[in-house]
Amino acid sequence: MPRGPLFLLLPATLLACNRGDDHKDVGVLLVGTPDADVGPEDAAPGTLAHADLPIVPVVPNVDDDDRDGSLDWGQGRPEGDNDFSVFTIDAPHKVTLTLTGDVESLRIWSGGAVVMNDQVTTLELAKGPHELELEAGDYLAEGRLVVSDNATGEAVEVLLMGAPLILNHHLQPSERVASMRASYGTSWNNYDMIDDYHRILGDSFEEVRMNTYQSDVWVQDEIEFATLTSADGAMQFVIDSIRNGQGQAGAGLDDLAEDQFEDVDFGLGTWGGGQATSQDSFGNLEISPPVTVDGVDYPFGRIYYGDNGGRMAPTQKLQDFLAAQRVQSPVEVDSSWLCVGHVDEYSSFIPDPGSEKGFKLVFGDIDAAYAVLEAMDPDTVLTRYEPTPAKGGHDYASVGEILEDAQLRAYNEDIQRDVLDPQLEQFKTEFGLDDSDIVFMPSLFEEVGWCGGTALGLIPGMANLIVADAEDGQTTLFLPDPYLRTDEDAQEDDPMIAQVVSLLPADLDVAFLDDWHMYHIAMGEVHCGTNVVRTPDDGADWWLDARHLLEN
Amino acid sequence: MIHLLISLLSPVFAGSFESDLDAQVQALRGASPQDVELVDQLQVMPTRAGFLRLMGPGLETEAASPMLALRLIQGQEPSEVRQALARSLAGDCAEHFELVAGVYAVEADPEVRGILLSGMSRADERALPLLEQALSDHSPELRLEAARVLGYHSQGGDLLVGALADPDEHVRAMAARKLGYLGHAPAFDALGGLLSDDSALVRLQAVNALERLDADRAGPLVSPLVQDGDLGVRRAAERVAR
Repeated sequence: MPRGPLFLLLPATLLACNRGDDHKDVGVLLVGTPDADVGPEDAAPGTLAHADLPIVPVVPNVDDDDRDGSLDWGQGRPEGDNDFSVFTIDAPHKVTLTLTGDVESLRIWSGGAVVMNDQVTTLELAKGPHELELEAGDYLAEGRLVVSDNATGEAVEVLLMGAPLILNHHLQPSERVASMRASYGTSWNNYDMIDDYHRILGDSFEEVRMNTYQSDVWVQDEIEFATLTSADGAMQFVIDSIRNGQGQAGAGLDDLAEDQFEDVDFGLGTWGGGQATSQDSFGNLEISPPVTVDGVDYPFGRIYYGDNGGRMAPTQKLQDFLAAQRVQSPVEVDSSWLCVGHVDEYSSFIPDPGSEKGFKLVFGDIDAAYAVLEAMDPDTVLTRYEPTPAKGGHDYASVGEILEDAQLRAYNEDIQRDVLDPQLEQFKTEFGLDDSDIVFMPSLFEEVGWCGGTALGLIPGMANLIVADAEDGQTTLFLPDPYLRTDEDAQEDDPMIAQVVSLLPADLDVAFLDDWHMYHIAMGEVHCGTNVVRTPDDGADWWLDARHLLEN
Repeated sequence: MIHLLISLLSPVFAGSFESDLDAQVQALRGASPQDVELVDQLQVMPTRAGFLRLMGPGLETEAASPMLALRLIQGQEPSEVRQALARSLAGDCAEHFELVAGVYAVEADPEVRGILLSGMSRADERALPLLEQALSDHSPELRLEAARVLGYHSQGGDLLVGALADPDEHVRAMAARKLGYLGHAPAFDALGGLLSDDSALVRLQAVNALERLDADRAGPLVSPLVQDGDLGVRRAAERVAR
């Protein structure tokens, strides 16, 4: 039975979260509150129990502000900026608060003491304003707070809810960009690439130390950045893969998350364990920008990862966790045709401010690559592709040799027809796209020896790119240099670069980085060796704009 | 050819090969000490696929392949490092087939053997006996690699036809795929027989290969597969039967 407003409350809202200058209206209006007869038992498991109740959001206190190895939730009084949300109840008479739901993961504080938790689920408050602090210990921890007027018997209800962990997408501004400076001797280094990052990104670029991390250059694969938000706070978060530097705990980049990112208000978590597969690397975990699919809005985009339904899949615990966050409804695609097997080898999303959707999907395309090659002089010498077998390079001295390789062409035709075309249809369906939303990125693949006939980029995979904001604020794409030219220093002479630039949104700057010796011939590219911390998405509030997803 | 294979595999050959290699490397140490030093300084780094690869300018020297082969023969390093050695050596198979084949002949580690075999896609016809032998190996992974590599040899068609009867579906599928790539017309009927294979992977590659060999003949042959339970096979059959 709908009820009228019970309290006269703070300006414009019944309940308000506030924190000094950061006060932000949570938009919780209890005017016409919903049917109180709908109880938690009426809700299906894993769904929002009260679809029409307002939500008081809180960032779960899952960071470790004092770096003692224990999450703050288990350590008494919250003290960090994002450890709780503040809300106010202005009681016209004495009122009684009743808390139900995930009470083991929710606490309410007042005056520096816990006043409600799993042991104390009812609380009486005297007439007048009361500032309460809400703390949550888990993602999407959900409680129902009923506030009953002891004089009139009327009641209002709100949901208290921990934020879901939301993975970042490429339309969010970048804050920090990290990559490893590495060298194995003359010309066997990535100094040019790292120097380009410094030059373009300025202070937002930070180096990862090679010696500390055993030359494990795959910075993308070890960690994934995410954010937690509420009306009055936000927290950065890093997911630490079970990849563990492709080895045991402590190997390679395994400790990078703890060493360089975990901090006050920068949480860290790992889901899963045991022997990792290549699909546990986070180059195999990507996120679209906000999309609308069959009328359903995904204001934080959708997660996608490579999973062929069998052995090649991210750890099930991580899959389950990501699905349980609900707001970024994960999509599985088949990446088993690749030797490494990561979705970032052939797909990415980039901003396109001038377009209707505001972004483009970059997707590998064989025909587009052959079109560029066939327009070139076949005698063009390709210094980077010519036979240097012991170095692990390719075996083509000229453009003509690539074009004349019938087996290479047949192999790539198969990939286009049997893999990329069907999968592009899947992308269109799952992300609500059409051809106008897609950049068909020229791509050629070749077989990898002793990898079951699976594929790897022949031309450096230019879908494997980084989106970051330059020092002057200009959104910039960082792509691997394809080196389809004779003079390695003359990017302006490279017809592939010219073609790719013509395909990309004109609003963006584009930098082609030399990733050849350190990444390309080691089965990765620019994106694989770089990671980006991004500003939490302020374009949408999950408790308002993604509510329909929480209900499903 | 068969004689060469037998000689490669004999214990006498193994001992002789190692001593010859050792002498060759010793000669390099005298003649090209700087190159040898560079090879000695090679380091390993993890590739994105997880396995190790060698890094460093030493790989650009003439000393690299003999020295890597000797290290492999000596067999004193961890398997993952030896795999990295093998990858670099295998990449040089066109220039140093004898080294690759020689190490392959005495190598026991199946991973290292597979990697060395992979390099034979760059070798000439001398690789065929080794590949033929590998097609009979107990390891399906090695048979799969042999089928893949045979696809790079214009004379590999007949051996690949034999591999169409392999008990492993991945080997059969690879053989079918490569026969299509090679345009090995005598395989047409054998490939037709795979259209009823239990494996959708095999049926798909058979349809694709038949199309490559003779699209006109393949059309009516594959048309029943437009009802196939596998989406990929169905799509391929619809395309070819059209």
